[in-house]
Amino acid sequence: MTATIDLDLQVREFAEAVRLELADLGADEVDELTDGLEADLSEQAGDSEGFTLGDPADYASELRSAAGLPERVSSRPSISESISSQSTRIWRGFVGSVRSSKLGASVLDFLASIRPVWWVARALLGAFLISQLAGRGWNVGAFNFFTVATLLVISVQWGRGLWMPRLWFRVVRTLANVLAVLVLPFALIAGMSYVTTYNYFQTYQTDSAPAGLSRDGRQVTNIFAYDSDGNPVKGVQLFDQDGKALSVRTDSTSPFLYAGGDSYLVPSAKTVGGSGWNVFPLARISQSAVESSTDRLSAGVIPDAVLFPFVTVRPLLAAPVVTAGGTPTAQSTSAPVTTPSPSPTTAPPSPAPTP
Amino acid sequence: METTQLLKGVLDVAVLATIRDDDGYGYDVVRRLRAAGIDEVGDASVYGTLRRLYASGALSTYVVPSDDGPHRKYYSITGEGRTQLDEQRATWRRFADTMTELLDPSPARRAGVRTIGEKK
Repeated sequence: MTATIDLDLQVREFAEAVRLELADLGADEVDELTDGLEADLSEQAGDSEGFTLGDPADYASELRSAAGLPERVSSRPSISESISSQSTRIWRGFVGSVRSSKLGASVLDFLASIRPVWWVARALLGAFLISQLAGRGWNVGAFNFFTVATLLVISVQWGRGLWMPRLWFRVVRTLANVLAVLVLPFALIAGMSYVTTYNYFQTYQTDSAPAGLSRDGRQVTNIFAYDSDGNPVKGVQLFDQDGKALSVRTDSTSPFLYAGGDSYLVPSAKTVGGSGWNVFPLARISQSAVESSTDRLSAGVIPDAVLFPFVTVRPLLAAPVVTAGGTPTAQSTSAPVTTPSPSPTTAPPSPAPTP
Repeated sequence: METTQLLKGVLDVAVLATIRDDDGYGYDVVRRLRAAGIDEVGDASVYGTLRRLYASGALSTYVVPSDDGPHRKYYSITGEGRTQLDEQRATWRRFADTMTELLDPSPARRAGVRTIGEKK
């Protein structure tokens, strides 16, 4: 299947090249001379093994002389024409020598069958170049989408040997190929850095799940407990579902926890070796109590108790109210009775001990 | 002596002969020529010849579209083509006899050769 498509393509390109060689004869004459050429060549290729198309210039010349038409008027071949035919000749010679070996032939066949990949890559590289020249980022957007779509169609048509009304279009195509090859390393570097950034971002996100305790993505630095009567409780020890101490500490090497502003929290003094990070509420020290040179607590500092957010909260109901349906309901206990004081841990500057 | 050089002079009559009884398209004609033993002819030469014979009125063409590929251009011989073919066949016979005699003379025919020489 691939071989058939590839052969069709080769035949079309060859016929196109022959027509270009005859271009001085006029469109009607060229049509007369080459009408049905693709069908003839395809059938010939299918008929004989090891069929090669040869040089279109020689073919055109043979066709021309057999038809009794004058030799090509080669008075003034344009520069692009002579460059093109010259390079084509060199290229064909090279391909011919590679194809003469079995390995070379199979490599060439393989490369020929993945040629459409290059057509697509060429379009992407062109779009990348345009986006860079236009000063736009290489991202998903209408501009890049439009560029890619346009270049993709042109590139594939060119690859199929179509949309080449003039000889110099071949020169343009060659230049486009050279340009695409030159842009390739830059596009790869840009692509790599994009992937790296993306990975870094991913890693960063994973790592940013905060250490210590958090609620709705925000760090919890202190916890205030109230008993069933709604009165504040000190020295509450909390554990999680696995029986582990519910520590708010984020850095196991630091003897205190920064809680915003001028505030640092320290573990309960009534535990061994500063292990009381799960005893709430944590007490507070000010920045002046931290020795900046060692990042340790200055000797003899007595932490201040922190202010509870509410003096008291609504007490729990004595017993659930049983309704006629038998479903126990309880009134909400979450709404505090008293007016909350702002920022429990950071304000006020000189904390007042709770009652 | 290169056969291709010899072919140049007789390709017209050879091509006309291949489609005398049956219409054919370009590669079809090439194939018939090769089947007849004429291997040395290039396909472009045959296509060019067909084109020239068409231009001189010896052939007519018609296009047959194909469902699964490019269309084919068929050639068929015209009345004028048949006349050309008959004339050229006669010319070829005379020429071939003359050449054969020249290259491989038989005593019985020597008189005939002389006759041609005298007519000139």
